[in-house]
Amino acid sequence: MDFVWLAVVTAFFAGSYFLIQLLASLQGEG
Amino acid sequence: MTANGFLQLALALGLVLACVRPLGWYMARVYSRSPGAVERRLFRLLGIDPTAEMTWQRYAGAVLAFGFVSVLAVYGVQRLQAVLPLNPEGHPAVSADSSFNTAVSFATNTNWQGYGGESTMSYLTQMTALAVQNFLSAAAGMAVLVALIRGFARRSVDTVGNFWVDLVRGTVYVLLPLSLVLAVALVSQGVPQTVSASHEVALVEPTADADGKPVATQRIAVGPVASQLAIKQLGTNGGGFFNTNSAHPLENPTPLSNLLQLVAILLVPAALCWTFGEMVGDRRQGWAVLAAMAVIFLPLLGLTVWAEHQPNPALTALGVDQAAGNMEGKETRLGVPNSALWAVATTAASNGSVNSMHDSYTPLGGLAPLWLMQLGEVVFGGVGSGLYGMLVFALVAVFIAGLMVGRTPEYLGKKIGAFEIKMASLVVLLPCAMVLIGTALGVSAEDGKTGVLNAGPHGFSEVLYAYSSAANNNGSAFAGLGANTPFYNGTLGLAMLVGRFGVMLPVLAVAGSLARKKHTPPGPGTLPTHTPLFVFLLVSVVVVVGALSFLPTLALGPVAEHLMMRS
Repeated sequence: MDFVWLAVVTAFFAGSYFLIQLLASLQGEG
Repeated sequence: MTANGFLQLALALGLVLACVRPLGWYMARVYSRSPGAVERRLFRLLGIDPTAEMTWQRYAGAVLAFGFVSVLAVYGVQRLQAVLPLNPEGHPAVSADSSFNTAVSFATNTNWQGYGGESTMSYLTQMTALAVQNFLSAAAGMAVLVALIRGFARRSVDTVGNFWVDLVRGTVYVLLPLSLVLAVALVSQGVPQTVSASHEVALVEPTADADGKPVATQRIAVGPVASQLAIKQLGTNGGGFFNTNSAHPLENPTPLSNLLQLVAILLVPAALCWTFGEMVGDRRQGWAVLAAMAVIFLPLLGLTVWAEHQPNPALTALGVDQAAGNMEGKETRLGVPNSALWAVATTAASNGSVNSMHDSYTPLGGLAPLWLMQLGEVVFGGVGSGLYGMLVFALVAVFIAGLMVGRTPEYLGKKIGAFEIKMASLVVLLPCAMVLIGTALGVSAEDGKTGVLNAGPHGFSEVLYAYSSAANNNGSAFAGLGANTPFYNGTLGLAMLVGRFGVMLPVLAVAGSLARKKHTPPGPGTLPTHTPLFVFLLVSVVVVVGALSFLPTLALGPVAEHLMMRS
C-alpha cells in the first residue's frame, strides 16, 4: 500500500510543477 | 451573556489587538533587513545564498520541492515509528492511508487528525515529524505572503525574494522565540513536557467496564505536550497532542492557559496585517484589511455566542436545566463564552484546534464556524495564507470597482490586469470546488456513507464540515464522522493538497506579475483602498462569494437542522 500512497503524492507534486509552467505560459512567459 | 463572559471575550480580543503593532512591526523588520553575522553563518551552514533572488517560478518550485520532501519525511517516520526510539508505549506503525493523510495534513498546515494522538503516535513522531512540520509549514505560508507583499512593493523587477531565506527567517526569528515563551508559560500552568511513559494511577472511585470486570486503575497519557501545543496555536496548525485537543485537561489545564492559547491563535495572522502595511509603505492599508477581517469576524462571533446561549429544545423537553446555555460537548470549566470564542477563532484563523466539540453545537452555532472556513480562511486565516487569500480578494474588489466606474483597476499603485484576475479566480474557486466535489462524493459513495454516524441534515453537515476543513486547510473536525478509512484519508488528503498548493501557485504567479509592473501614482480616478468604503467593498466581495458558493449546502445542513429542531 505504501507504493500507492507515495505514487499519489509524487503524481500530485509532479503535476503541480507542470502547473507552474502552465501559469507562466498564461502570463506570456512560456 | 453575563458581564463576566463579555469581559473574557473583550480581554482576549483586546490582547490580540494590543500585540498587532509591535509584532507586526517586528516581523516586517525580520523579512526586510539584511542578514546579520549569525544569520550569514547559518545560511552558509545550510548552503543558502541569501543574495540569490528568485523569480516567482523558482520560488514556487522551491515551495513545491519543500512540500514534497516534508510529506515524504512525515510519512516515513510514521511508517517506521515501531522500530524507532522514543516509543515508550510501543505504538505500532501507523497504517499507510492514515500516514498519507497525516503527512499531507501537517505539511499543508491543515492538521486534520483522523487518529488519536496519545494512542497512535510515538513521542518521536510527535516531536520530529508533527511538531517540526508545525513550524515549517507555518513558515512556508508566511514566506509566500511575504513574496506577494514584495510583488506589491517592488517595481519593474522579475524577482520576489528567496524562499529558503524567508523560510529560515520566519522559523528562527518569529515562530521559535514566540513558541519558546508560550511553551514555558503553558508548562507553568501544568501542561506536561516529558518523554516519560504514561502513568498508571489508582481511581478515586473504582468502577467496572462494559463486561462487568472491576476497574481500579487508569493510565494517564503524558508526553512532550507543551512544546507542540505552543506552535500548534502560534502557527495556526491546531493538531492536538491528545485526541480531544485543547478540551483535554492536560492540554488546557487552567483559565490562563485557555486565554494564552486563544490569543496565540489569532496573534500572528492579525499582526501580519500590520507587517503588510509596513512593507508596502502605507500602514493604513494593513489597518483596512484588518478592519475587513474584524467586520466579518465579530458578527459571526456574536451569532455563535448567542446561539450557544440558547437551550436545546430536545433537552428542555427532558427537563434538563439549561440556564448556562447549550453545554453539550463543552467543558463546564470553560462555559459558553470561552467555547464559542474559541470555535469562531479557530475556524476563522485556519487553526483547527478545539476546546469544545463543534458537533454538539446548535445548528446556527455550528453554522458560523463552518461558513468561516468556507469563506476561504481569509478572516485572519492561517499564518501567511489568510492574508494572501484576503489580498487576492482585495484584487477582486478593486477589479469590480473598476468595472463599475469604467477605469483600469489599481491596487497599491499596480494596475490589475486580466492575468491577475485569472489567478485570483483560481485561488477563489479551487478550494470551493474541492469542498463541493468532496462532499458530493462523501454523501453518495458507499465508502463515504458508511463513515457518517448521524442521519439527516446533521450527518450531511458532518461531511460538509470535513471537506470544508480539509480544502481550506483548517483541520478542525465536526466529529461524528468515522474518517480514519482509506476513502476519507485519501479524498481529504487530496483536498488538503489542492487547497494548499493549488492556491499558493497562483498567488506566487500574481506576486511575480505585480513585481514586474511599474508603479502608477494615484490619480483622480484611483479608488482609495484604506477607506471605510473599500473595507465595505472588500467585505461584500468575500461574503457574496462565500454565500453564492455555499448557501445551498448550508441550507441542506445546518439551516434545515435548525428548522427541524425548532418546528
